[in-house]
Amino acid sequence: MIELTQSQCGQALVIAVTGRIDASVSPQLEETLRQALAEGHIRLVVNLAGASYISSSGLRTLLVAVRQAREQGGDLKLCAPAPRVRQVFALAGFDMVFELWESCEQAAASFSAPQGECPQPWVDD
Amino acid sequence: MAQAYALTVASDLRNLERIAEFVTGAATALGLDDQGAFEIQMAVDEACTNIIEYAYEPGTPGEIEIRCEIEEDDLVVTIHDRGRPFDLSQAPEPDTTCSLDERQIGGLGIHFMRKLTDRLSLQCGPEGNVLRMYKRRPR
Repeated sequence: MIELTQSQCGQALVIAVTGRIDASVSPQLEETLRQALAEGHIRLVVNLAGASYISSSGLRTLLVAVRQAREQGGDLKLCAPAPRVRQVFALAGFDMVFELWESCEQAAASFSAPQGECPQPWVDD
Repeated sequence: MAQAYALTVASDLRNLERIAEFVTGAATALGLDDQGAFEIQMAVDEACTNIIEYAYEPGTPGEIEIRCEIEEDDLVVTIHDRGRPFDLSQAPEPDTTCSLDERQIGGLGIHFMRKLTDRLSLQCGPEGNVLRMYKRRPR
């Protein structure tokens, strides 16, 4: 079971995910992201602070959504992943595909800040 | 007699969380640290997802039997299903360094299974498919 909650932060729609993102719940996340993009929310932030796990199925869902968002002129950014979730992103090389931000506010602000004037995304030491 | 933990569940995606809890608990009880238990849990989650989504015909679910035990220095997780056979050696390794546009949608599950275990073996026969995943215990 996952819980998905939506809120607006600046120009971005933030979708917060709570729970374990495995193949049983990926369709629920996929549908929420698809619907948000269909409604014109092309600046998306997925808040992973409450996500305890993500499997390849969840990664595929995010991959499809980020492609669609960029095709529509927007982007999908991620924030606050727990260390184990970050580890999964790194293992898949997805940390090079997605912008990972420490907080939702930073991720949302990065949509509007002129290049070079916003904090940089998280980079592993 | 050596300690072993076993679980049999229906091949239903809704059982993935139960499988994860079982594997994490068994791996910890059998001597893996938190990181090792997380890694083997994820490898098993990916394997069981493949079984549920691809090995069994949609609409005709079967069973998945999982057994965790120690063999010498390894935790061994054996996963038995009676679905369609699968050739692990034919699964291509995804490129995890390419750009977003070049990323393949599939293949990540098996990539994780390979990366998160020390060894994998799969035997397919008349009695079904037996996947064995080995994870070295910390000394």
